[in-house]
Amino acid sequence: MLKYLVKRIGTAVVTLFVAATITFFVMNLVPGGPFLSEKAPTAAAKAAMEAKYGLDKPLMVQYGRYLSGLVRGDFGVSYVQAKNKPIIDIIKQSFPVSAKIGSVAVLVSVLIGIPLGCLSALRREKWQDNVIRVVSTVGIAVPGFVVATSLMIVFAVKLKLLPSSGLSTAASYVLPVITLSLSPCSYIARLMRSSMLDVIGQDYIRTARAKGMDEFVTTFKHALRNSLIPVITYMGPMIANVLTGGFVVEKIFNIPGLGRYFVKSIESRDYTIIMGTTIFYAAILILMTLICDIVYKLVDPRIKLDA
Amino acid sequence: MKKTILKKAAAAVLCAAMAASLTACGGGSGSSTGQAGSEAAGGNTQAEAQGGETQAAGGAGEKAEFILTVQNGSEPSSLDPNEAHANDVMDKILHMYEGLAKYRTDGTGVELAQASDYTVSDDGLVYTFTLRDDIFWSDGQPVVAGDFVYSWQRLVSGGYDNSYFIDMVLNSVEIQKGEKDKSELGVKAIDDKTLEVTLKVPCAYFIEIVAAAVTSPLRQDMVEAGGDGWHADPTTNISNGAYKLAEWSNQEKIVMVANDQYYDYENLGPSQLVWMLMDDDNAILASFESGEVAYANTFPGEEIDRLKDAGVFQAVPLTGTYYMEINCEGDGVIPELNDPKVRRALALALDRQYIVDAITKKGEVAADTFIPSGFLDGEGKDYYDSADKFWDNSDYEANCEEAKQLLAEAGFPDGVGFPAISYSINNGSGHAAIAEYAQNAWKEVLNIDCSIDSQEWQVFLDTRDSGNYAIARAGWTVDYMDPASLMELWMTSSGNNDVHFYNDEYDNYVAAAAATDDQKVRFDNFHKAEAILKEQLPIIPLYYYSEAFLMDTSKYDGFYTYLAMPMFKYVKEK
Repeated sequence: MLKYLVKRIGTAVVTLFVAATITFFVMNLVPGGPFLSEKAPTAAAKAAMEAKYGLDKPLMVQYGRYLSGLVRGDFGVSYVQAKNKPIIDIIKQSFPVSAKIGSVAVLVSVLIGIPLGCLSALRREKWQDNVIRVVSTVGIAVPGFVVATSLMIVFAVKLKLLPSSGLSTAASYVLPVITLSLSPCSYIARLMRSSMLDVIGQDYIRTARAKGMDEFVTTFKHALRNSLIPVITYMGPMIANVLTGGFVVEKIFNIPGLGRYFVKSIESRDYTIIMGTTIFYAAILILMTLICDIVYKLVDPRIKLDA
Repeated sequence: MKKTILKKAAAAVLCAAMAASLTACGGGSGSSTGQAGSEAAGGNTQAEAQGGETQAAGGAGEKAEFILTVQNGSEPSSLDPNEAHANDVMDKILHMYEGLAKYRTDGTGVELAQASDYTVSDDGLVYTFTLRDDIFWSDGQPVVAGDFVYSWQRLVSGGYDNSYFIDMVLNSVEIQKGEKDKSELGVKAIDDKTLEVTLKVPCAYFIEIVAAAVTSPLRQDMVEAGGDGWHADPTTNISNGAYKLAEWSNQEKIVMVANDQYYDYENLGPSQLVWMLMDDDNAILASFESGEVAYANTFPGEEIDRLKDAGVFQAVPLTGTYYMEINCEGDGVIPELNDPKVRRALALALDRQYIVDAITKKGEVAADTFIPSGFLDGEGKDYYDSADKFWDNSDYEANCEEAKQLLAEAGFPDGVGFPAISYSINNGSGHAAIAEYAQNAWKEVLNIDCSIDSQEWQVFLDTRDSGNYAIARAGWTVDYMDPASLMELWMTSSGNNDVHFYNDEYDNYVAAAAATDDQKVRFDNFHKAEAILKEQLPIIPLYYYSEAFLMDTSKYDGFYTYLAMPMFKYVKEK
């Protein structure tokens, strides 16, 4: 196990390095730059700004500097969005916000998605199954901004039941959490349904039933546990995604999370934020995948972690 | 909740202490006034420290609570006056800081603010400002001439977008290029209350410049104490204007409270000004409609008709022009477009009145010159009124006929043999609708094929800057109320001359206007330069901008706006 972990962490470092390198060069290849705007600064001002941030140096030198900073834990400062603010401070400030709302959404998705999926499988072709299948298809298909805007119009503007922006009260979590969890929840329900159906058809379940084992135990001890594997596979990247901030949700509900910085930094070519958020996201993604792999083993001892 | 009560109590105590300091000031005169203020301020800090216990003293000058929540732009990049670049950022800064001059409350120009008086030397090069006696920073220290010197020197030496604002000050450009030391900038504190500014060339609109956000004074001790993040921290962002920073929750809101050290504190409207930092058009509109914000200037274009009917849509002229640029030099140039006859044909084939009435719909005005109205000469006459109009927007039929004829004269009767052209736009903000209209009009009237090249914003800026386009959209709103802000764009030396229009005669006229502060001579030269634009048409003006916003004016009084900067300082509930 320890050997496995060390190996995985080693791979993770290499992956992060490759991700950082590719992002750095692709980002610089894309036309535009942090100091371009409708009203361009004068040549003297632009040169002074580039010198201030070391952007006047050759690209390889910039890359070397960035990497050496990275090793020391220095992600640099923002050029555009939050002038001169250290990226690490931006992440420290906005990630907890995204993570807070994200973890509620993950919880909701799991707690609703899994039971719905089970119900759907156990009541196959019955009305419960049909309703769940239709709703979950819609949940996956409708884009987040449509859900968010519709919810906002109905509950905040028309009914004035819930606030439309910020995260100041418990009530303000409701709309963003629904928006964030609708799609993963639907997806989990569908995954759960098909995997459960698959497991229920297996010989050992039939054997258990034939032996006269209690239906409840059969379903929730044997079938559920074995049908969780595909859901866990999906949960790794899903949690990473939801935790690091849904851009659409954060933008529409005015939530000060990391997702907004991520997308806006690309629009404004705020190089250091692009790098910082990408590396951070990659790290979370790698971590979640690792956790999932370990959870596999807990759920299904037959799986070996030797890679 | 507890925090709010504490804050309120502290504010009340501050008010009372300020009233005391005002009384103290009343007794003194000259430089000793500043001293008295300063000492009283020292006392304030102590009073504030003990403020939690002392309940509202109810002294003179206490402000009735009125919290105004507004939306103007999303998260600002900074609240450092020298960094201010975008309009929404400058707007926030102008609520916190005040320069030598400020915008008049009727939205027609500027008047003195931190300065009580100024003189100009006969050659128009030396401005001597006398500062008011009753000006203080929000921590109670007096504002001194040295605070301006520090800010201006920092502006030209620190690598800031907007350093060009004071390019006319002696040695400004040399310092920006690193050729001279910032101490050689033509700005000097003669004493605490006297500021002397030496210009390189006379500048007719210099008083406009000293009202700009970037020229606000700064407290060296605070800037240095707070490091890079000084401007985001209420304890170090000490300001001298109507409001002071109380809270900045990133990507969420900025809270400002009325600055009780401000000389016009008594007359300020909102006791607290909350700026919601929002990104999404629909969400902003929802916030406005649910009553969470009282003012918003971003909303989905499709909703305009409905908002007009609801009576909340407002539009005022915004000095600036939306135009097409025809590239004169670079990879994207189509040689056939270099013929002024062809350019004029393209221009005349567009129905500008239709564009503003049916496409943009935000109160824009169809353009018939490059320079919009609003610039007054020394005698109060509008520059626009005496300008030679490029065309007559009221008779589109006749314009189309002339367009066809011009194209034929250029050797392409009925568009035959004319190459396909392309129109580059940035995606979003309704540019596509105008582009599609132009594409259609050019095909129908002139039989010219045009493709639309829609690009991501930064890619588009790069395309335009590098000259890799045939025709591109562009727009410019003025930074200060003078035609120079627009005319200087097309000078050979301009960094924003994206059409790559290089014309010596044009340069000479605009340079001649810049060399004097005699408005008559200047306007004459601008007219001559604009005539060259009319003849060559490197740009095709489409409309003059408007500033559109949502506010229920039946509920509020005292709102004004200038240069696209909404001012909430004196807003009161009706």
